[in-house]
Amino acid sequence: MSLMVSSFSYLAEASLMTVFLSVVSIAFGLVLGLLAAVVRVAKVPVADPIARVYISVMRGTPLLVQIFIVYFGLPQVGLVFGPITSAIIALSLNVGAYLSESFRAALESVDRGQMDAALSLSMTYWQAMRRIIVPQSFRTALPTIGNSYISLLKDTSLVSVITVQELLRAASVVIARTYRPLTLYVEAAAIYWVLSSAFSLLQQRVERMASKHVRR
Amino acid sequence: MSGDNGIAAGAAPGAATATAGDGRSMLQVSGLHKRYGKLEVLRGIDLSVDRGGVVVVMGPSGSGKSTMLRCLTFLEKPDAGRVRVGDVTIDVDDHDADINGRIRQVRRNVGMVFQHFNLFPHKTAVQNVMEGPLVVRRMPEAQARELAVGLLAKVGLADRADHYPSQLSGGQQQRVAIARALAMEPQVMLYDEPTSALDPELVGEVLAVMKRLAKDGMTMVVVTHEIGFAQDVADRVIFMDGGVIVEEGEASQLFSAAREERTRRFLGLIKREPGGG
Repeated sequence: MSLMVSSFSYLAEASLMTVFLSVVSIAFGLVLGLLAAVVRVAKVPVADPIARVYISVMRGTPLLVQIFIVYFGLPQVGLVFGPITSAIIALSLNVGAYLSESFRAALESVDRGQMDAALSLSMTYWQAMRRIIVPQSFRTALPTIGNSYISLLKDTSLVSVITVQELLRAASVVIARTYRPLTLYVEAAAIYWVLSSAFSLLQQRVERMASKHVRR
Repeated sequence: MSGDNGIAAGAAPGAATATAGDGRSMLQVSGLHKRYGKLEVLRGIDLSVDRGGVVVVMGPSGSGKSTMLRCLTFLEKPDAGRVRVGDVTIDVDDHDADINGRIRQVRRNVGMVFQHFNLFPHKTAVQNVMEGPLVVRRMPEAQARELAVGLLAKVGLADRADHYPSQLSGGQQQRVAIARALAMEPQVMLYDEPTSALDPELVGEVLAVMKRLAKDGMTMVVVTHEIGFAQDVADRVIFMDGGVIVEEGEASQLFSAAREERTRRFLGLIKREPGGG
């Protein structure tokens, strides 16, 4: 118990890195995911098949392998990234693929009449997308975006293997010194759990706010 | 089926007004065809509406009324035919670089009102009405708001400007939708069964707004089964069936003495409906 207390500030500090990685990666992932989804729904030539392959590859391969390819593999072709950058690249690409599927479903669930109405006002397809369709799809996608974020928060633990000093790696460091794996892993788990629970609460608030005016 | 003969016969009485380029008509459609796979939904529609004219289109479901309206603004792309609104003409066979520009020009000049309103649920009533002026007409925000508030007042909803569609009744939503279309200052208004999705007690308020617009000189094409509206407002009633215009004439003539058996049978049916009168 005293070990838990004495190691807490160390792990808490490392968990800031966990939060940082997850927040930056979800931000990039949202942009990437929305882009890939819009490109697919609009069937943009060339970009659509590229998005399709990207999504399929990211969802069909283990995240750990993706991290290894970015960190250990790319230097072979001259692309050298530090551990944190590599982590963000791999996590963003990965979560972006999952988010794009959520966005695509959400975009397609927007009533067709919305596009009709927007086009009838003489908007271009892209104006209609930007002003009418995408904002409505965000609302639909919100719950799945939240779920993706919670998965991502936990997935950041994988980047401990490329020496990023985040929560799990910090726990491992203390274990190497103290040989008390149970205490430290439980402590790390507890911190992950508190972080994701806090986020869940926030998510519920945001969802309530976003759906205030929509009765469907 | 004598579909194609049907149009020729049906269009004959209106031929004087239907001649191309007579300089008076606001909306002119010729040879409009549309098919979905093997199903021919429109089999050659010719239609001309004078400036300030009100045309009511009736016909059984599946007769192609809605498709015709949607083809007029290229929400559905017709397979053949030509549409002219004001000075802008689009031929389906045009393949010039600016065809999309002309389609948008036509859409800008034509206001469309849908059966299910299709208001933007994430925007308030006034924001719905402002959307076209802001985005398409590039109007400054303050000016767009002023215009929108004025139009909401015109449809009797000045006090509902900041309500979201979900907070409005169906009749109110449809009136907002009419205001939204008017905000583009269209030359022609198209209504696709504007009252069919409404509870009976809400139909009147929407028809009243439409009547007022017609009296103010708006050119309108209205797909509806509201016989009372047609009798009060329409210069001409068109009966469609099987993708062609079977018959057209003045409301009084068509309702009392339709020439075609198909028209008489259909009118007999809708007159018996409680909501049909």
